Amino acid sequence: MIEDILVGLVSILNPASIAAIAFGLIVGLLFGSIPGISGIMAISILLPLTFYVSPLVGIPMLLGIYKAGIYGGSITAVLLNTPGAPPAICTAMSGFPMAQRGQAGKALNAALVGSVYGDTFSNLLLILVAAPISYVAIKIGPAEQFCLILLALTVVGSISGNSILKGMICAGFGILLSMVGVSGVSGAIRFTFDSDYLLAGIQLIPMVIGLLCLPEIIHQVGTCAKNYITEKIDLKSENGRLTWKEFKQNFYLLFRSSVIGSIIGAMPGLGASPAAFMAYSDAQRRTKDQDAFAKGNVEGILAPESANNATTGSAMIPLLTLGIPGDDVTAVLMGAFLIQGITPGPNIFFEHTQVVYGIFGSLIICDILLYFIAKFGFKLWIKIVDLPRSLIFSSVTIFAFLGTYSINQSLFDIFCLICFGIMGYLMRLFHFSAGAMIIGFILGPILEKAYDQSMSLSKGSYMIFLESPVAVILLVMTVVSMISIYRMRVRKFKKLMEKNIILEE
Amino acid sequence: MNISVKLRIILEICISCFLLVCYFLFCVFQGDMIEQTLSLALDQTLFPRAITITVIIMCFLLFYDSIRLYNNHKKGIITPEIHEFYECSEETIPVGRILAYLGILFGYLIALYYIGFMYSTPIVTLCIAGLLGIKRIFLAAISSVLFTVFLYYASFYGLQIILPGGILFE
Repeated sequence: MIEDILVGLVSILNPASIAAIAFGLIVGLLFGSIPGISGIMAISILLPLTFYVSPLVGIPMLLGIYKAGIYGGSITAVLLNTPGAPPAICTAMSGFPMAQRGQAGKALNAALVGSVYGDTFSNLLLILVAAPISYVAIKIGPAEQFCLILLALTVVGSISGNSILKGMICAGFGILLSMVGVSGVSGAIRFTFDSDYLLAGIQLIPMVIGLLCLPEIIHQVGTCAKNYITEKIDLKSENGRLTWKEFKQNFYLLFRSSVIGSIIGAMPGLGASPAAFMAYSDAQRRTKDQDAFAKGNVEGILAPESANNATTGSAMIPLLTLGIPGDDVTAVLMGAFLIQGITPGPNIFFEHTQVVYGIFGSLIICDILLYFIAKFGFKLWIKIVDLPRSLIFSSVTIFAFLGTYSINQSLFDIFCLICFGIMGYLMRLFHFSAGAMIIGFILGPILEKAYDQSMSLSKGSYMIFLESPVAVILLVMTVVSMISIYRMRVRKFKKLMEKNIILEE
Repeated sequence: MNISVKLRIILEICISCFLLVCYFLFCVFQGDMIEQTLSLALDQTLFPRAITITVIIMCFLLFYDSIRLYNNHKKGIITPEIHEFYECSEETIPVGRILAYLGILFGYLIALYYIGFMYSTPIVTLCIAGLLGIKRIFLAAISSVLFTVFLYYASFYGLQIILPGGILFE
């Protein structure tokens, strides 16, 4: 086992893996720094590439995109007051006023330092915590796994926007779509409508690209976004960098924010935005100079950036130890693992020890490379912010087609991509959650397999779900999770109602 | 096109009705859509049916919810959902541009089949760029051709993917 761990950690130190991480980081920064394009779009477009390479090349590349994409969102937040991703809203609140005062370089550097600090903190936490959790989780059988997936599905309640019902309908539709084709357990042919194309089932990649990437392009085509003008930015003087003194002064702020981000990231369904908001408000409460904070200073950037990047490592804890994707990005990452024939969950630490520890090693390399690539490429990222939208979105469309075609080299997949794209746009228009549908699609087969195995073991008796104490605890947790999500929504609903009444008055 | 709040609520009712009917029919005819190849003790329709019934219940609740929204809107009560609809009603949906983009996507699919990747991609890239308001057409035309050639050879030599050549040129 220890030998496997060491081999795994060393195996990532090969040119192909390091080049893949660097490539992923550059792509993540490119996509993150373009307003309207998020890291998840880049992940979905490059997901097919992982099909052709080893897990220790493909998955670190996606992780690189994930981390760099979150940081990339802060570049547009600082320069244009347009957060590239929702978690960068707080960064915009402090960073843009700084940019207006001629401190854009300092703000960008602060965002980078905060991101790398948060990332490293949560990665170390993941490395320390994941394996012990998996030792406990390995004891679960099919009945417990079924209950665990039910618990995982409650995440839909947190990511489905204003209507939990719509989220559940989407997740249900995703589960039903995952059943199309030949059943892996019984060999039954389901919902193929006598079409040969559907016998192999619906592919994950056209679905992910179609639901996450094409709707954004359709939206951009509709809005016909204009270009932005960026002034010349000073990156050399005192205003252009974060000084060592400022870093030392804010070290505990970074630590506190990273703890907040790591805790929130490990809870399925919450994601990076609440972490950034919580860390920002915590920094606001504790700051010594309220006026400077309100006008925008490094504290207001370091706190949200370290918190939102700290969610990336800890979000992998439920994914790797329990097989629960916490949000749409980790759901797509789970898809990348499945493409490689690796099922995330407690067994991954025993069946694919080298791969897991290789990935852990890659996370640390990601952090180091992120700092240097982002730092030395500042001028390039600033130029990218100003690239013509027409060029970007036409290229992204071609990449989406190419990525989809590359999996089976089938035009039917492209047809599916367009259909999912239209569906995704309509879902976006009427506030149905694409993320919930993807989570349902990915978890559906695992849920069904666990159900079939449990039923076979118990000879059709549902008591199997109540006989095991772990299963009962998980079921109770599922109910508690549902109740807490419901209560949280009721509270939010009441708050919004009060706000609306005040607005009306 | 702007979708007014009232129209949006009516659309919500229609969508929930549509989903309810679709899932109900799907549930009724589900048995015919599953072909059991092995004789197992476990009924293979049970799990899909359980999921479908759950979704039907959700659709029914969504229908009820949208009716409630309609009544609230009629009474002038602004719930968070209605507030969200008010915000969305300010957004203009350029139906023509969106349909044009979708037309280009379907056209690209057909073009890939008939004339292949090399000939169709520069045209499609230019069309989408045009839709997004490109200014320097000549430069865009040259870069789209170079972009296509790069992608074709990068896919072929890098990933061993043979992009469609088009049946007209086979």
